[in-house]
Amino acid sequence: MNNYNRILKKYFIIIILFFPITSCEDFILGPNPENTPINNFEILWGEFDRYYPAFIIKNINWDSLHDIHRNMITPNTTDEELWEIITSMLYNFNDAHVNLYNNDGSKRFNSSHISPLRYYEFSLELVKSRYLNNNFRAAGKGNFTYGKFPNDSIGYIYLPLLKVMMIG
Amino acid sequence: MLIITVLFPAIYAQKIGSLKENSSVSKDQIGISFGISDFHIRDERASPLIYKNITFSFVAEYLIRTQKSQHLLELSGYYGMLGIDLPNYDAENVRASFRYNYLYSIKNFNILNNKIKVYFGGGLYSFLNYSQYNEYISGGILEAPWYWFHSLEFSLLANYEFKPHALTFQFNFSLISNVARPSYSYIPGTYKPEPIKPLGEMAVFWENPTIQAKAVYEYQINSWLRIMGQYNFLYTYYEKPRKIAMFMNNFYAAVFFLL
Repeated sequence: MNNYNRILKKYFIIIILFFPITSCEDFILGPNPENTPINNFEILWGEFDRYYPAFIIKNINWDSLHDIHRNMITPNTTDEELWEIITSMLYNFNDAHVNLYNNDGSKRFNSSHISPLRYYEFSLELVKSRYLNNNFRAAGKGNFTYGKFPNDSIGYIYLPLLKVMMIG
Repeated sequence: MLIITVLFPAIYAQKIGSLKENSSVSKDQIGISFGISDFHIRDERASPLIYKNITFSFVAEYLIRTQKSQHLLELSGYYGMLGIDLPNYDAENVRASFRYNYLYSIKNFNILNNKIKVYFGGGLYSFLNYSQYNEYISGGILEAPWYWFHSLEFSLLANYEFKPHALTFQFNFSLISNVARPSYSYIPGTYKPEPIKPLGEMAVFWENPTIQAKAVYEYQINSWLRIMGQYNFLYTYYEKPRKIAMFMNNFYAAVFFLL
């Protein structure tokens, strides 16, 4: 029985030693990035750098914008200041698909510059009667209205699903 | 992080047989394990932060042991919600794995009048990780990152029996894998994420390092029943299209029936 106890003790120690090695998150996966103004800016900039598809179409020099805005940030930059710096950088996209939210959703930013008021100034009935000469078609349960301008080669399509968006 | 676990109580039943020396060696065994999985994952496309939590898991195993070899079939499942330190973010996570190992006895020796058997072999291992990352401010992260691979692995196992107890240590290492990952885009013309592809790219072990270690304590109650406490660890990593790395510490209580 003494032998059994010795063996069990030995392997118990090995297993106990094994746990801290294998369960040390920082050691295995690396630490989470520090929550600093500079890190947050760099991570956001890097994600756009990898995935934003329209830098060339919009004639945006993303590297220059990085340098300009990165120089405004110090380790002492407050959350409010960082918000202003980042949103001023994202403003250059003028793209309704670019949004920024703070952690609790109390602050929101949209990069589009076009005023949503333009939508409310819009009248489909006016388009139909004045521009399409009441010669139009509707499809998709009202989700599409389309026609051709009389005596012209220009077609017209209206998609009301996009009415809440501010086109960038 | 040290995880303190409470192993579930084992439930068992009786079958004809007697508890003799080596009686279990040549018998087939079927077992089921329940436990918890301390899971940590960093998928850089979804977040630079590590998502983690204690999740539920189970394993079903079928083991054929002869004097010279072992065949092991193993099916595992895991489910749970992962989180980070910030509110408004979580991820629903499902994992599953399948393993077949063939192990051949390469060395027998005695320590303290008890036999240690060392086996060497290999097999197939498939692993799937599927996470649905959510955030509740702008309406959700629509991606459904999945990661799955099928690999050829080698395995080393050492079994030390001191009746009615036994200790088993097993180490598995993937040599070559076929890894499937999403490209993080939608099906063209829809807002549906890409479905899981059955096959992806071939990767050698340094591109998709996957290691597993297992420590099992067994207690043979009678000629047809064993109960076990098991710890196992898995780590895996892949770079494409963005880095994904994960590990889990699993703790199980198991009951095995000798057929």
